[in-house]
Amino acid sequence: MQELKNDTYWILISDQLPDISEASKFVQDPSCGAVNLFTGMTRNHHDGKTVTGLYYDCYEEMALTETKKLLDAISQEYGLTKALLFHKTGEAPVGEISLITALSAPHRKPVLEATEELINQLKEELPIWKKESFERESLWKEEQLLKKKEQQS
Amino acid sequence: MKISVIYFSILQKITGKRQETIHLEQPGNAEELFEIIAEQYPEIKKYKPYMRVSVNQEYLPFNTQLNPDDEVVFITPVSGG
Repeated sequence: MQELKNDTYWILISDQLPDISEASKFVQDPSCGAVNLFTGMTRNHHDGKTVTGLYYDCYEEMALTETKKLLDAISQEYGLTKALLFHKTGEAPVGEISLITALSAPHRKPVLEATEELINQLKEELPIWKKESFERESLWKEEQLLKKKEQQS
Repeated sequence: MKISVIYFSILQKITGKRQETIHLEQPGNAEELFEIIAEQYPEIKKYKPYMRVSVNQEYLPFNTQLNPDDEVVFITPVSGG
């Protein structure tokens, strides 16, 4: 488990995430008219196959520092007041929340745009890996990527 | 010099290890470290075209020169979120 919490940021990388109401409460501020709360959860299908669950492996110390870098850059670019990111590690059964982001700013446009940017960036940068369990096998995403590349060539 | 290598995800599956200490007989960079490890676990070579490397928890180029007690992680494509 890795955590950074101060007046502006709350980052948590853990196998147990707090309730989303805590996330929403943290980013609220009297100067802010907009809070954008996003949750990502395990869905029950991928590429036409039934998914029975996910497992997240994580280089936790680096995930924390990379998240801090992302929040620094995005907060500055969009003028955010507070920012929060929680990411689950370990087992994530279907329907369970594995990602929470919450951003606040005086007006709505920056938080809407910043949320999309943050999620796109975290999918590229955070050292976190997903293993999908299907009905007959469990595969890391990289194994699936390599299979696809082999089929294409 | 001693380098600590941590394996995650598919690389942990291939190597069967979370962490190991590699002894480099002479100064080297992350690319050379990868070659040493790949001799032991040839299957990891097929992931190399998609791989990044972190040294002491920071993404750096493969030609980064390593220092004693560095922590190195070979980072296959990430899939968080």
